[in-house]
This record gives sequence, C-alpha cells and structure tokens, in this order.
Amino acid sequence: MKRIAKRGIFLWLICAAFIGGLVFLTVSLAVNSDKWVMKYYNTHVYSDGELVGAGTVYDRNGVVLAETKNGERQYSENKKVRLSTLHVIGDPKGFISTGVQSNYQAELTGYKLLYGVYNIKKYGKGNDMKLTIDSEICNVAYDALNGRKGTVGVMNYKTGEIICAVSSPSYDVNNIPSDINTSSKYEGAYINRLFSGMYTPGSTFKLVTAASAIENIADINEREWTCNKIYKVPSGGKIECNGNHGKQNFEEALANSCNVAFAQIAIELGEERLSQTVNELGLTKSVSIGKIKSSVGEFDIKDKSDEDIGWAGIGQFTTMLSPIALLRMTGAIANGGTAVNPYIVTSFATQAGEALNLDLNMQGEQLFEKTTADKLKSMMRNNVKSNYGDYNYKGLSLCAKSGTAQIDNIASHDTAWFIGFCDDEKIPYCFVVIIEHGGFGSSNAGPVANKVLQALVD
Amino acid sequence: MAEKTKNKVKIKPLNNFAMLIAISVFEAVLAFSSASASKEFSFLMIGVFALFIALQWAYTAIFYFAFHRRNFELEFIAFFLCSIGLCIIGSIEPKDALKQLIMIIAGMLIFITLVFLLGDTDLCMKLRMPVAIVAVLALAATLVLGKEINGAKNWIVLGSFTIQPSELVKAMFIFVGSATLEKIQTTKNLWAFLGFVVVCIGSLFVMRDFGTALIFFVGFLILAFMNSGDIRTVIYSVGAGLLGSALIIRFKPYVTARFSVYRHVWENYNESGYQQTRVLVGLASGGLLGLGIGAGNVRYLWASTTDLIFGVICEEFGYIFGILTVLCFVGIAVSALINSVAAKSTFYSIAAVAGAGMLLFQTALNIFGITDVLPLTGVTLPFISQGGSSMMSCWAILAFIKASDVRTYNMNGGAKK
Repeated sequence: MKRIAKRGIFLWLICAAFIGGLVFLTVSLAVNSDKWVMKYYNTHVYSDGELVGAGTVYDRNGVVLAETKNGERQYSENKKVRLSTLHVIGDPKGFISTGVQSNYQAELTGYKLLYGVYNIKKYGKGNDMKLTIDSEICNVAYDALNGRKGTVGVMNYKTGEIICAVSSPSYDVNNIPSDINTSSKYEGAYINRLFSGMYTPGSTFKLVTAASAIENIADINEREWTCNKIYKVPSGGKIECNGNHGKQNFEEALANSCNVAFAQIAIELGEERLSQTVNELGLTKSVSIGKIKSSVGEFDIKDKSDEDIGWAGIGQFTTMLSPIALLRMTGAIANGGTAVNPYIVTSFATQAGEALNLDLNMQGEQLFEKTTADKLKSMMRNNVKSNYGDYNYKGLSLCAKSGTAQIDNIASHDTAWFIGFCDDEKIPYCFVVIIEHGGFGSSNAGPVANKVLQALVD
Repeated sequence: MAEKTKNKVKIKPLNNFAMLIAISVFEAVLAFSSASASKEFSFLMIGVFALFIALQWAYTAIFYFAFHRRNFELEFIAFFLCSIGLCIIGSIEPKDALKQLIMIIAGMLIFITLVFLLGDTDLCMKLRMPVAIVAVLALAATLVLGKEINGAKNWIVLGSFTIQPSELVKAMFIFVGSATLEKIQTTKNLWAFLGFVVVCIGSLFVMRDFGTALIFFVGFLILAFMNSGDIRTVIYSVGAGLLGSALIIRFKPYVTARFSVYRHVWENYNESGYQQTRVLVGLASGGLLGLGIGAGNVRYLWASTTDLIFGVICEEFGYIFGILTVLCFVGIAVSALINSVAAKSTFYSIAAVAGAGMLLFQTALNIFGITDVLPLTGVTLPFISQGGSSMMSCWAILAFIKASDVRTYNMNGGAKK
C-alpha cells in the first residue's frame, strides 16, 4: 500500500500545478484588472464606444460639462462650452489622448478590483469629477481666438490650478463635422495644443536666455549692446534684428526684444551654460498635469556654430517647446522662483457622496533663484510699461513677453506668442497665448490675453 | 506494521446533517437569486431547487439510516457544484434548469448503482472485458453516426436527445484501466490495455475532440504510473504524447488556430480571442466580490452555460467564490489520494486517483483555457456546466472515488470503530 501512496505523486503534481495556475491567474487579474475593465467592448463601462460608466464632470463653478444620462454620455447643452472645453474633457471615442475622460477612466468609473463595477451597476454611473477650469473663461478665450488655430492657457501660479485650457480648432462632439479628417480647417483638432503642441518659442525664449545671463554673467546689468539691425558673428554668419535699436542696456534690450543683443548674450553664455538653464527650467521635460503628460520640448545646440547658438538664444533654430512648460516657467517667475505643479482635476466623489483622495503633489520646484525671478519680473513689467502699453492692460499689473516666431520665410506664417502674469496677489494668474499664422506677437496675441484676463478680474 | 497503524489516516466524520442544512440554506439563496434574475419571478426555478434540496435530504437520509453510511463529503461537494450550475442555467432559462436537474438525477442514479457494483470486486474483474467492448463500440458508433457540432464530431443525435458518447466512455476507460492493471504484471494484459488506450484516444482525435483526448491521455498517464510506479513509463508516454500533439498541430488547421492565439488573445479580441477576452473582462468587472446573479455580461456570450460558465461564476458570484468553487476539485483529488492509501484494494486506489485526476485536469483545461492561462480546448466544467452526458460522466467518476473510501462499504460507516 505504501507503494500506491508514492505512486499518487502524479496527481499531487497536478494539484500543485493547478494551484500554481490559480496563483498565476490571480496575479494577472490583480495586475491587469483596471486595464481589462476599460476595454471598450466592456458594456458595463462603455456603450457604443462611449464611456457611460463615468460620472459627471463639473467645472470649478459646478457647471456640468459631461454626464451620463439614461445610459448615454451627454456633453454640455451649450454649444460654445462643448467647443471650448472639448480638449480638456476629451471626445467620446478617445481620439483626444489628453482628455480627462481617458486619463482618469479608472477614477471616473470608480473601478476597484474588490467590488468590480458594482457601483456603476448600482448608480448607473461612476464617480463625479470636479475640474479646475472655468467654462465661462474658456468661452471668452475661445471667442477671442476667433477661429484662428492656437491655444490659450491660464494658470493660478500660487496653486497650480489651470483655469483655462482652450485649443483651437475644436469641433462639436454632438455634431461631428464630416470633413474632420480631411479639411485643413480641422488640422490637429484632436490635439490639445496647450499640453501636446510643440512650437518654436521665438522671442519668448529671450526670458530663458536672460535668466541664464543673470545667473552666469555677474555684470550683466552694467553691460550695453549696440544694435545696427545686423550682427556679424565673428566666427561666421549673421543675426538679423527686427529693428535698429542703437545703444541699450539689459532691460532695454529685453523690452526691445533685440535679437542682436540676445544673440551676443547667448554666444557668450555658450552651449553648456545655456543648455543647463534650459534643462533646469524644465523645458526639455514632460510636464505632468496630474495624470496627463505634456509633450517634451527639444533644445539641442551641442557642437553647433556660434551663429546657430545665437539664433537659438533668440528662440529660433531647431528649438521646439511645449506651451504648458513655458507657462509653468512663467508662473515660477511670478511666484518668486518656485514653479507649482499644474493640475486640472480637483476632486472625485462617489455617488454615495464619499470623497476620494487624489494625492495631489503640492510640492513645488524651485526653478529660479528668488533674485533672478524678481529681476525677470521687473524686466517683464518694464516690457509692458515701455513697449506693450499698460493702458492696453488696465488693472492687471501685467508682466509679459511677446514673441513672433518664424517658421518659414513668410511673415504671415509667424506664430504669435504672448506669455506673462499679473503681479497682483488678488489675481495670481499666469498665461500663455499662441496663435498660429498669427503675425506679430504683442499686437495679435496680446489682446487675446487681455480679454481673458479682464474676464477673470470681473 | 505497528507504526503504520499509528499513522493511519483518521478522518473525523463531519456532522452530516449540519453540513446538509448549510448546503440547503445556500441553495435556497441561489434559488431566489436565480428566480429573480429574469424579468418575471420564476416559480419554476423555486420548484427545481425545492426538488433538488428534497432529493439531497432523501439521498442522505436513506444512506445514513438504511445503509449506515457516514461519509457524504463527496456527494455534498457535488451537490454544491451542481447547485451553482443550476442557478446560472436557470437564471438564463428556467426550463433548461429543469432539464439539467433531470440529468443530475440520472447522474446520481448512475452513481448509486456504480457504488453498489464496485463493492463486488470479483464482478468488476469479470465485467472489464464487456465494458471495454461497449466503450469501443460507443466510440465506433460516434465515428460512424456522429454529427458535427461546433467543430467536433462527437455527438450522436437520437430524436430530441443529443448525447456525447466520449463523455460516458471516460468512466468506462477508468474502469477498464483500473480493473486490467490491478493485478496484472503480465505483458499480455498491458498490451491489451495499451491497445484499448490507443483506440480511445485515436478515435477522439479523429472526432477532433482535442480536449477530451488530452483528458484521456492524462488519465492514462496516472493509470500507468499508479500501476508500475516507473517514472520511465511516464516519460515515454509524455514523449509519445508530445510527438503526437506536434503532428496534430502541424496538420490540423483548426487546432493550430486555437494554439496560435494562445497568449495573444488581446490582439485578436474580435476573432479567435473573443471568448477569452470577454471572460477576462468579466473577471475584472465582477471584481473579487461579484456583481450579483443576473448582473454580469459573460452570461450573454455563446456557450456561457457550458464552456464559459466559470466566467459567469466569477463575474456574478465574485472571483473569490470562483476560486473556492474550483478548489473543490482539488479537495476531491486530495481525498482520493488519502483514500488510495487505505483503500481495500489497489483497484479502488487506481480508479479513484485516475478519476480525480481526470476531473481536476478537465477543470484546469476549462478554467485556464477560457482565461488564456492555457490554450483553449473547449471542455466543460465538471458538475457545473450544462449538459447531460458530461453530468452523468462526472457522477460516474465520483463513484470510483467514493468506492475507494473505506467507510463506504463498512456497515458501521466508519463512525464506530
């Protein structure tokens, strides 16, 4: 009989293998369940490709931006709100990869491995989500862009709340245009330009060059540069300026946005120090907006000629930056050198009214020395006073820098930029406005920024 | 020998009627959940469960009082498993649950008869040749008269009944194998049995019932090893089996298709990976605690009450419950292994271990096949899946394990020593 006991080993092995299989299955389930449950053919969560298992999405004032009603995903009743908040919310089919609906699927559906999709079955929808954006401000920004391609981003530089994130062109999810994939009118309609766009920074980059100069060139404030429209680089090549600025100090050079002066500063700083500043300011890293990741900026002047470095120092050459990264940097200037982490989702609440912990990382990052930030702030304030005109931006205590980035040789193709902030405790907002084929920066992007900020002040 | 007596496995009898009450309460809950799952409350389902519960009490009472049996653990496990199947089948179509109950009753009758028959080992030895002949004839009939349903030609249609002879042959296979190998060490017997094995597995290949063929193969391995205790036998057999499988995969596009999707179900979620991906999505959706009976989506899939029933259990009863359910088969296997040590005859030991092994292996093929842990082979979940042939075969195999328990044929039921 003992023999028989030993011979049963084959079945013991099958038992062990069986339990091993169960362990494998359990581990696979534990690791992958949130991915599996979000398959679009899971009809608990999706219906006809729409995330019906999601809860209601509110803006900061409690305006409903998207909700599930009778098993269907419905967006705002107001067409303009649908257009201006599309890229933040995301489309029903998930083409807009940075939308909160696709990036916060698990939180929106309230999925937990423990009880599965039970709450969706019980309440007909998942968790409610509150956003930092203000749909009214988004509408103003969308109107101000007036059909031009581009983006408007506004952030509270003290807290990191994104108040406005509008991207144009947009489209109406309730009435998707038939030519959306073919017409040039809708080129890049699925892209949130604020988070995923990549732009030549133009003169806005002079803030970066200036920051590097303040930290690396001790007597920068005593220096003077003479602009005769063209600067001949000693090692070959030339840099052209937009004007003939004559003799100017550091502050005047930024206010004039003088290419001649800033190309010389960039060449003096050299490849290493300029690259270091760009990296330290987080411009070549992806910015995290909660779970949403921005595009990654490109800046490469390694082993390049002085002429190339000169062009890079004034925001041309091969440099491409993400608008949100530049917005974050601008916010740091306003905030005494510390960049707060931008975020767009404030909170989630279950249908039972229970709040979920989002684990927001409120820890900021020191991008500039306080003295550097304050110097840049006063120079940006001076830009408005001496160049853009304070009367154009009444009551905003505006500090700003414009940019007109050339993308080819045709002036009308230039990208118009305007970035800056209000130096006022009561309106702690920084902003970025970009208009593609927008022409001259301050005169085209500036008024858009003013409209949005004035709406915020009201 | 003195030492052996000391180490003798002591099985403490559970309080049978307390267990039965617990099972009945569980089944009553299932009855109401199942009856409420459809739009209209189904009184038929209540009736089906009431009848089933009554049968369990009648069975236990008769064998407890009239036959002085005290060991009912195996039957209780089977009752538990059958009730889960009934609940799910009935929550989709109450009439099917009634059919399933009739099949459970048929299975229990076969079980009772077999347990009595197996008590007489001499009769069993005499019967092995006729049973082998019946098995071969049944397979031959299937090959000739068989109808192809869902890719496998293993069904015989008799009027409104469809039967799957290969399922019934499973029990005969164990019977013949154990009876032949019990005493023999003669080469003649061994060759005769090998011939029988080749005929059985060969016919299943021709029928393209790949899953069942694999189960037979594992049954054969256990039988061979239990008999000789020689690891070489197993190695040779596995080698032969692998070579055979390689040839089959090479030449049968149908099998190749099923194997090529293995571990790639997500890329083929709308074609060959359809069932597996939906089951995994169901597992995730149900979570550990389940959505409640009738609330899942796996139930709407094709074959949800047969091949995919484990997916329905996990989604609606919860993953934890699903795991506990399939662990019952490990429990059956362990009890067969423990019984085999103390069994009155090696015939019982071999039959019990082979039977339990085949049940457990079939369970593995089913639940791991539909969850992409193993390639999908399309076999049923024992005792739970809808289907009469499978149900009867499971009860028949359970009889072998029951027979190996020394308490079964001891008139004192092992309660009094």
